[in-house]
Amino acid sequence: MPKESIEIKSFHNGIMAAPDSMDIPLDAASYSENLEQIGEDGKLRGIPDDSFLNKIGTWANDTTGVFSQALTSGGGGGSSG
Amino acid sequence: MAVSTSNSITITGTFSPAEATNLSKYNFTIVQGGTGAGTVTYKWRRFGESYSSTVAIHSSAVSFEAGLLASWDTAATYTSGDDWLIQVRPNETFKARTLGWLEDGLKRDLLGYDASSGDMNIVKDFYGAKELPIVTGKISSLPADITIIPNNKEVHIGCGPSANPKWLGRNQYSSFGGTGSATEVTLLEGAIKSSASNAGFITTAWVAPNGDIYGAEEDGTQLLKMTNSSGSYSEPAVVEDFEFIGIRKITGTQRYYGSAYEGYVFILDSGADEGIIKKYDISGNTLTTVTQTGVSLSDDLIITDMIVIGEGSNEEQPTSWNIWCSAYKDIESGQNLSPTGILWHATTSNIDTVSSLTFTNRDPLDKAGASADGFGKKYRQQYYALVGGSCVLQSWGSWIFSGNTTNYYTSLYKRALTYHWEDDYVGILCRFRDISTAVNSHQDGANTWNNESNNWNCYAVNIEEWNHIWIEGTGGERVMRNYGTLNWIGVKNTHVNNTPTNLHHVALDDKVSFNSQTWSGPTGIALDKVNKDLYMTSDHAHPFSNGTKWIHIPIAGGTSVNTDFMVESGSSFTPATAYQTGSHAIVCDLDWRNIIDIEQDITEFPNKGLVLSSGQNQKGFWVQGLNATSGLPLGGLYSLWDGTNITLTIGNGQGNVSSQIWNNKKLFYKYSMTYDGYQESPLSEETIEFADSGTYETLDITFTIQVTSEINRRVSHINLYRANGANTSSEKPLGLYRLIESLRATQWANTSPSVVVIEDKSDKVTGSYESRSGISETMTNTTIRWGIGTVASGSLIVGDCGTDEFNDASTYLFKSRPGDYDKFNWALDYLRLPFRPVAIATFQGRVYCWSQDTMLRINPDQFYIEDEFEGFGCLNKRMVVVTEYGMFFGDTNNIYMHNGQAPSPIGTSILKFDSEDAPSGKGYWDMARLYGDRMVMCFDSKRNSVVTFCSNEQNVDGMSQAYSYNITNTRWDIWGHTALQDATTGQDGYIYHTDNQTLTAGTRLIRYLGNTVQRRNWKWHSKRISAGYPSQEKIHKKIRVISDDSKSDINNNLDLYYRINGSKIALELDQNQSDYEKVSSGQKKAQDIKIMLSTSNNKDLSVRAIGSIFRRRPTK
Repeated sequence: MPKESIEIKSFHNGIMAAPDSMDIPLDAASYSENLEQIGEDGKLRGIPDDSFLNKIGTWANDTTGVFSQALTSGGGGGSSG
Repeated sequence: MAVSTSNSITITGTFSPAEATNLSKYNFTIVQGGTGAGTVTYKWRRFGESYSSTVAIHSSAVSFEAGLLASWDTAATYTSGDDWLIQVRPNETFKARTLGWLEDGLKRDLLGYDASSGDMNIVKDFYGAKELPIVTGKISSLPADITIIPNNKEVHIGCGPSANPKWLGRNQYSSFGGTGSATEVTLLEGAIKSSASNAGFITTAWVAPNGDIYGAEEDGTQLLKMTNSSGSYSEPAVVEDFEFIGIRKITGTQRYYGSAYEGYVFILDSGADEGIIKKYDISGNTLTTVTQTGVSLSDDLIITDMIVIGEGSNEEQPTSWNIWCSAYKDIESGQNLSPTGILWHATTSNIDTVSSLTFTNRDPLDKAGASADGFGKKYRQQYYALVGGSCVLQSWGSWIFSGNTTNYYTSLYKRALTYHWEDDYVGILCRFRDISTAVNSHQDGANTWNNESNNWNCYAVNIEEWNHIWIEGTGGERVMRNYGTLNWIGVKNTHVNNTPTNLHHVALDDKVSFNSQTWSGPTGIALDKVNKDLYMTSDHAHPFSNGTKWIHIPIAGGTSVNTDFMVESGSSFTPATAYQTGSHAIVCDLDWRNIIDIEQDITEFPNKGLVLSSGQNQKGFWVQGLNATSGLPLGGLYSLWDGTNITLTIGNGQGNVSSQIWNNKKLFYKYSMTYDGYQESPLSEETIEFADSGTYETLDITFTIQVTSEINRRVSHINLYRANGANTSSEKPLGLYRLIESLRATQWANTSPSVVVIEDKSDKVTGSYESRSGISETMTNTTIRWGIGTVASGSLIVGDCGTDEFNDASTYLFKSRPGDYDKFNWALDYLRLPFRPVAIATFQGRVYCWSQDTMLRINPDQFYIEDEFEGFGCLNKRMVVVTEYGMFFGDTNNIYMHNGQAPSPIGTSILKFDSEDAPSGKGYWDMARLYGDRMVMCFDSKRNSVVTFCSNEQNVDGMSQAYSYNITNTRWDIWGHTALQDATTGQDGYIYHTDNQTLTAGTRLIRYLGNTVQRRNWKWHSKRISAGYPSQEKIHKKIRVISDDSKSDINNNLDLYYRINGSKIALELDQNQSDYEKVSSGQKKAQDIKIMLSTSNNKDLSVRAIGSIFRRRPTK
């Protein structure tokens, strides 16, 4: 028998846990977590994380409160083999 | 080998500095370079301070300061002297259980209610300058949750059925107290006061062992304290942090005068017919609710009085405490009430830790009639007997105890309880009647020849029976005589088996004119602890001839401990004396152990005295010393504090106009207050009368405010009304109260006192109070306590209610006056529901309210139930959201969308999941069953998605689960979130929510999906792919993933699995093998395959397509 290919090219349907996992559309998910619903042209992409109100009235992207971390001396400053 | 980079050290945790700081910097410095945890060492310091000791680098996260943890890349190579500067700032502390918005036209403030402290936190100008959060007030009743309803530039806050609602808003009107018209002043204030009357500011109080006085106004919500400083008292100050529903009685532990111990204040609060007993620990400044069982009330009685008595041989160290409560109802004239019990008693041996009390019925009339009882129900009978061949009526027989007859009360009183120390009697004041007269009709005896006995018989079948309340005290037997006798019934505090000596009775109506049942009872009552003199106050015309006086009913028979109480008849009883000095109420018992100084008394510390509160037009606190022997007043009243705030006096008339319509009429004046410029309070309970036969053209009415800052800051106007009587002797107005003048707050100078004179010029017809306010002029309370609410047809409609006007308002909805969200005409605008509502919302002009399993559609205008939908419930008040696309709500079975016509389930796709996809419990059914009480539904208007937050994981940020329904694409997704208690949609489309993560509960404000840098890890599981031939086996060759991201990123951050024949197998997406992977040879033959992708490291990865390459096997 020849080789065949099934392509899942868009992911618009979201989760469809019912009816049975055999019977849902090909591009539906039997389960998913944290997928963006709009604006991704059918791609799978994660939703943004949260931000937090910080002491100076802006929104921090890090729950730790760390907004700056820098190696000030030494080190390689990059990566190598 | 990678050398150190800026990311070689990873900082985690939540930065929570001990001191207030906006910014902290830390240095981490390598001391010993090299590679590996066994070689490399480091030290750290807060920037500019000393370094820590040197330690080895570590791959695990280790705490170093202020909630922060550091971990190292132990595979990197470090150089001595490498130094990292790490700057941190804390996420803002914004404690909030409940969120809401406050509008100001151009600005919008975010409100957050902190249930642990009662603070209302506010972030002003949330979308603009975003000022730092501040506390704008405190809800001292500490409701567990609130509901915030916005209205123009203010919000109305429901605090549940047991706490009065609040108001928070911008002060748009000038108000008293100097706040002026600054519109940026945001106030948290109470709801509209039930009455503007200032009479009886403190009507119940207790003197603590150190002389401090704790008191409250009847139905007041605040406990007040007057601090004693060597006999000089401060003005009443609110005991902060506590709010009450409506205080009925303040009392304390009697016989508890330990020198170092301050003791407890016991507060009988409203909220239930049997009252709610609360214990305030003076030294610890804590309030405990003491639960109570056993009290069974019938006939709409409520508990209104309470005393607490210590017992023990050492009066300063009681070993047990007795708590007595009495029930009250305004019994209508002619009504005979036979309640289940009016006097209830409980005891505890540990007043410090008591948290519950079991009450027993000690109703003096509720006696079975045991033969040993000296008090109870007795009857006697008359028989016919055969005497000399004729039936002859015999004498009355002996009294026999009986428990099968009915006793009747004809009057009960709000203030009824006293305690007599020497004889240990608890006295209750009440009025009851004899049981009945003859109970059987009878006829004269008749002789009948009895054939069996062959004799004449007298058939004495008809018996006349006479029933009585039987009193047998130490003074001998007594029987109630007259209907309506006022009685003081003493019940022995020790109450041992209700033996005869445990009851004592005194009839009072021979001595004073208590005969009118219209007398509402004393406003205060006290009993001399030794002499047994009785003192009462009253503000009613009877029996004090002109009201607002106190009377003295002295003892008869001396002062010996064993002598009787006041006798019911006899010449030895001294008539009661009325004293006309202003005395609205006795608020304390007489014994305060010489701790109140009386200036006018030669001893300055008399043995006993009355503590009295306000007369008419007075708000204050006075003490009246009493002669220790005679019980008569020592001098005049001595003022402890006089805080009369608003007085209305009618001065001289001016001019002479014979035709003036009000001449020769009594004039009745009342006033009201307007809140926020538009909501008018009920009329004052107090009425100021003026009767003169003069022909004045005008009358001067003087309004005096003693302390302008005491006026509620919401009050913008004071309105004066007048009604006219028929003539100068009229008892009541003939017509309606009509407006004389409405005065803005600015018309009073900001001084104390501040005086305004109003000239009442004529009798022109002006608007009546009722027409202006929509409320009856006789209604004194327009406040409803509520827990859930919605706005419809211009009114606030509330549920989960409580009100003192209804025994149980939990199954009612109430509708406010249009536009006046704080004013409820509860007598008219209510709707009875078939259940207690858990949620309420307005959608397309209709109000919907839910129980757990039923939905009602309500017409808000006519206020009736239009339709009922069984099977469509709501989990809680936060599980409903109204959008422009429809109304969404969820119960334990499904999530529904209401399109305006009917609700339909939309959540079928997420009700449950196969175990091969997700751990158990991920489906909505399980979530709703386990976490339904905390689930929150909110609208993400950026995505047009309805998000249902489950908050099922409270230990780790971001690990709780939310169901997101995208309305545009009609698709469901599961999203992660940090556990929360409330969420709200911002005008920028984001969802803002509180933090309920265990370690940082309530301290952070989170913008959901608001991170501009980082994205969440995601998962995607395909269906079981069978290529249309589910029964045909296939050889699965490869799985291909198409992505725009680099192969390196895919290699490091994307995991691929497939499930085949029930086994889950991982594939390595190696960057060197393009974008596909061969299925392993041992696991390639199956009828179908499921593909599963997941990302890690919060890398922003996307996948455009997935391919599966297979070969079908020949059909056999």
